[in-house]
Amino acid sequence: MKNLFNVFVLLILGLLFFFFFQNIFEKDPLQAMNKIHIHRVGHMPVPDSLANNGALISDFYRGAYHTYSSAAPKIYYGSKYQFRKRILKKFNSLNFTESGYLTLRFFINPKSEVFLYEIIEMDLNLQPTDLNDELVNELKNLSFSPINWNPYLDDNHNYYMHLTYRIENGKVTEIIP
Amino acid sequence: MVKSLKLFLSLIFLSGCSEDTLTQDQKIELAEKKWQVINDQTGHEVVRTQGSAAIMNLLEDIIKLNPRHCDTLRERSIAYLKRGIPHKWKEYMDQAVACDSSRWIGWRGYLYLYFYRDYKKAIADFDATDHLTPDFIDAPQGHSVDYWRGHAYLGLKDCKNSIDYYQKHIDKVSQDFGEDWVEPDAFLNLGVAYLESQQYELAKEQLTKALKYYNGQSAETKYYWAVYENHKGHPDKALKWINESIEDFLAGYSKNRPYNEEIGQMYLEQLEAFKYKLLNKKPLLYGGADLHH
Repeated sequence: MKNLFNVFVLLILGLLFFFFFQNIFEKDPLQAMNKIHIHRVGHMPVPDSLANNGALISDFYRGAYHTYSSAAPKIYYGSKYQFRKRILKKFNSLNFTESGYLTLRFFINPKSEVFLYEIIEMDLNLQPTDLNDELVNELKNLSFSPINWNPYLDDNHNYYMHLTYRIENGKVTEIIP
Repeated sequence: MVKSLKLFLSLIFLSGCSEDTLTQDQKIELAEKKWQVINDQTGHEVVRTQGSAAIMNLLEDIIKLNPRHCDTLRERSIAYLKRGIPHKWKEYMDQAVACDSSRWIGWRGYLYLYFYRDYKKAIADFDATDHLTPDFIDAPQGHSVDYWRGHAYLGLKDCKNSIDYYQKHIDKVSQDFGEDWVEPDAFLNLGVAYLESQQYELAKEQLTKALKYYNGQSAETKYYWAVYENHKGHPDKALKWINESIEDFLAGYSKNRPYNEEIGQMYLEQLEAFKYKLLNKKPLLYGGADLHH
């Protein structure tokens, strides 16, 4: 009986040993120790305020092509040259005096509509700041107009795109990327 | 038996604790192992998509284990750069530069140049490499900082400095390896800088070299040839050049790059507009986009 108990204890010890030491010495380096990131970089969730918007949710769950700016250049209706011309022609730089970067990150659906977006406002040192709301709205509305976009695949694809405007003294000096 | 059992169990318990119990050397070793795994393209069945949660968490692990792992600090910034989240890129890239300035400051300059078109900040970073590594010329993204400074000063429309840096770069490469090792667009951009500063004969010399090293096919070079000939009062020659330029463009011989535009990237609309200007005709409307107005 005592022998049986000893064998049992050794068995348990062996299992514990295996379990812990495998953890220490053969820890899979691919298994991250932390879970700081739950989503990929740039994941854009549907905000609660829009969670009841059926059309948007349906767009969202169709998924999106691209995680970088690689839908460009095809995603531009015509070309980026035309896009730039159109924005510069319509943007009323006389109304503004400030400088900074404005980044728009957005999804375009098969009908050329922007259905989900995020805005990042920065100063010229790329530090987050609060830009003039009118300026932001004007560039946002000009950029999101469906006439700019060319959903070049079939009706089951969305596209991720981002744009960064460099603004100097109220004037758009660069449209990136 | 019971006493030794207790001792044994407590040992196992201790060694079973998290990475916090590792020595400094063990942490650095584990960090390096994780870094190798991220960079190793074989042997592990994992999706190594840059910017995925799995990869980002591994990068965070490495930084926690070894906060001086400068390559990881830089790698952490890149997904934010490409995915259009500039303020986070800036925060993380600055950490990499602080960690290992001589390695990463030239790279930050290149990224300021291409991803944010901040020519002054780019030049400041390129200039810093001269002081940090005085014995050699840094070459972020495979091109020398002199070549990049040529681009940056051209962006600032500072033709004099642009010309000086392109020339310095061309001289150095020609001396070390031969003129045919120089990037053809160094000649092209040098030609453009000469054109923009009204030094037409010097421009012609560079455009000739550019076309030679582009093997006779380059929409941009031919466009600037047309500009040159038009300035010299030869609209017929200019028209011939611009027609060839358009042909080259349609055949794919023009500058472009992934992630962002080339500096001085040209579009078909610009080439055709110049053609119609030479013909004294109104340019065509493009792609229907203008028809919406």
